[in-house]
Amino acid sequence: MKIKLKLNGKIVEFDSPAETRLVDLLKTSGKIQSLRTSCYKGICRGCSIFLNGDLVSSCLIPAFQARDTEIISFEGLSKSDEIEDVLNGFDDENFYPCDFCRPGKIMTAHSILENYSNPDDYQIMEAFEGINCSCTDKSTLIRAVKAGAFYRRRRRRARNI
Amino acid sequence: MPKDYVFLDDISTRKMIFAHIVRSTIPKGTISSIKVPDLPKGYFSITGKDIPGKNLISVFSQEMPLLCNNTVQYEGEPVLAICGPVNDKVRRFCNNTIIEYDTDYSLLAFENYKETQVSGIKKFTRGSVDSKFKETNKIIEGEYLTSVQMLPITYPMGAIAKYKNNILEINTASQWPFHVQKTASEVCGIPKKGIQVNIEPYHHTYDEKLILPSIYSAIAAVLALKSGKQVKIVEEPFKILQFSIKRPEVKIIRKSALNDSGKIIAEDIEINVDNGAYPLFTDEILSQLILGAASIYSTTNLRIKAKSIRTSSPPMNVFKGCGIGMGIFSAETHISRIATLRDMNPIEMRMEHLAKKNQKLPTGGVLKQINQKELLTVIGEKSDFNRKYSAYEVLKKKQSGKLKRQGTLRGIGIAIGYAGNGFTRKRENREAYSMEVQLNQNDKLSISSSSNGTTLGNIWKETAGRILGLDSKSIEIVRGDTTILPNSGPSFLSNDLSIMTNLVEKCCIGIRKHRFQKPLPIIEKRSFKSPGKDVWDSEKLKGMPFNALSWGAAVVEIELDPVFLHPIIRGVWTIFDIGRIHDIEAARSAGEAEIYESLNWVSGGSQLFRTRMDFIDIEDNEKTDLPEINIDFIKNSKRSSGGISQLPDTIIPSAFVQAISQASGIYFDTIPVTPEIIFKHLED
Repeated sequence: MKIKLKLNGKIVEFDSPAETRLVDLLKTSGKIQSLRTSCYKGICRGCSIFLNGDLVSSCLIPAFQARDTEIISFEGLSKSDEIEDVLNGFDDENFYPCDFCRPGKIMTAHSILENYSNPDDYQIMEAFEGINCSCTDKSTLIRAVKAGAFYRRRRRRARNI
Repeated sequence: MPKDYVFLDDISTRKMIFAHIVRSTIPKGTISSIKVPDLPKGYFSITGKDIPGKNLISVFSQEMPLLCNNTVQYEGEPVLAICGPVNDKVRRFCNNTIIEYDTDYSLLAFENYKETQVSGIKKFTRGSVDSKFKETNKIIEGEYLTSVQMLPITYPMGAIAKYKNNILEINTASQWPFHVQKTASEVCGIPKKGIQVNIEPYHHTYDEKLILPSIYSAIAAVLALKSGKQVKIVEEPFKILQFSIKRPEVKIIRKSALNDSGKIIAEDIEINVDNGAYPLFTDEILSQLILGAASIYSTTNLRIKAKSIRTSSPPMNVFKGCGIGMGIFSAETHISRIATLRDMNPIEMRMEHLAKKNQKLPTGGVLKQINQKELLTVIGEKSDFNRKYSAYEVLKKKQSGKLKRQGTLRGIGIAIGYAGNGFTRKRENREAYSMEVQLNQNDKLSISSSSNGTTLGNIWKETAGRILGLDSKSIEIVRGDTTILPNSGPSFLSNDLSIMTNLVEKCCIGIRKHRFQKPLPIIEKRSFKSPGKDVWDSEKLKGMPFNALSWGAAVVEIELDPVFLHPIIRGVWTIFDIGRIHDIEAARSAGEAEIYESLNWVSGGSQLFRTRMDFIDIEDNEKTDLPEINIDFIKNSKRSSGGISQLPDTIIPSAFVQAISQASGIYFDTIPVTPEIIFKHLED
């Protein structure tokens, strides 16, 4: 089955069996190594990607559904300037998730900042609900995302001036 | 791609071959035949008979087969491994392999075990229990059950092995790389010095990386020896969740004899633990369960009998520790139960039973620089425990124990406990922990250890920098393999922090003495060995079992959702005395993460906080803040650091269960307590 899509800004085409999940396709054929294949149930969020702008767990999506879509993985996001807001927020609060969940946490934080200019505790907790890795604590996580939101607001204000 | 994000399952080379394990499909039986599909050229399989050395994995003189020998002991036991150049094909061959069995029976379940299933017994006695029980007719009995807990989540685990130029090279993420080396050496029949284990990074664990990597590595090593190629074996996460370690089920029956004034004068405790099909770590688990169940109180007459039961479940051994928390859960819930029956405040009850002076563990170990009464007093004041407890008792007594009860259902609970670092000190298995620090030209310092962890590395850098006056940027934590790193033992229960940090300190002090006097490089190596029988007698359970202890007390306040019976956390207050604190922010962060983990375990993953929907009619945004988890530390402690990771599991569960009991008016004594269980009890 031919699957053509836009991955991190580049048009790519994959040939894959019908039953393949998107995470496996991206990991094996797309060489997207930041994706973690762990639960295959959409609960660990290690395989988070932006699919047409929405943050989704790629393990829950059949590969064929990604035809003609635009996908941004952590690798793609890393190239954008906006990830700096998230990373600055994390640094300010000394929030350092482990190597395994770091891409998922950065992607989720970025998604929060895209949707809320001033996220509250519940919006943050709700978004991170599925990430079970307990390498970091929740208070620092909340503070780190709020700090990131400050940088994002500043960036937007600067853009508007 | 930063190197950080490349893990074992991402690594693949053109010449690599892939292996998968075929597991048994029944819990117990004898294998009559194994039908492996016709394998094309380049593919082959191995069973236990093809192991060149010992087909065993051993820990502290207990062992289990690597690939099962004809008799299956649990469902999911590794029977054979198939490998070949195309991963998907190997997986398909494994799925199409048929194992036939002659018999199909399983051992009785844990609750109805027979004496023949008992795989280990350990006893602890002090004073004269029987005579005290005869003296009184006030006897209170309680049964405390902690259910099996599975890993909430895991990532692919495995190993890559290659045999080249007489060196067997293994890559794996293990908490105990030198055990990987030992196991591969025994299984492959080659000396340890011919095996190099490269330590891959790993994330937060539930101790599943203590033994499992040794199993995968040993199988991969045998396949690499046989094929002469690089072999990769990676287990899918769902198989790890299903067949790997779990927190064992533990049942503790406590009988307490009370004197006329209601004080506990004797306790008779029976502990049963399900250790699954193979008893690994049994002795350690029984010892730590006894230590926990013996509690911290000065009961002079105490008898504890702990049994490990063999069942047809997958081997259940260490899971976030060796069980001290489950023992303390029973002790703390039981003493609060007695306090309720005596109409007494739980803090007063605890104060009454603590030693007046010369504080000791029930095993006789003298406790220095720890004030248990201070912990209880501080936590009581900070949480306003006494007022809330009294108010909620009034609420409880006003309401009947039926479903129709209305209004606020609130409760509060308290617990105090301790945790030790690593394994208890076993004279016969004294594990050596070693550390090497080297001062090179331009004041570059390198710290070599097989331990893992970024936070730990930062603590070592800070410690070394402080002693030698160096900038942390000039200090390097050497990562590598078992041929260049000293054996730092298993990374287990904060022993990295307590033991290894002390060794870093000693090495740096040694370097400071010789600095500017000796030529560079100056190399200092220090080792730690557990003291002998005079300090801890592991057979009689006498003395001080751990090198360092951490203490803590917790109060948990909850409100039961009257409709869904979700326990909503109103507040958690904790105070920790973990000895010397190297990095208070790291300790606070680790403490909070572990508190959430403990709450998750004890509530069975229930929703513990109000959702946005619950606040839909509240306009004041400030009220929608999440409940605060209060963490305080006793600072300026001179004791060596004991770590914080295991502590919340010893104190949070009991405090939570007591709070639920008070809120619902029903006495709970199990972990987990889910809304379904609460509903069932209310209905009954």
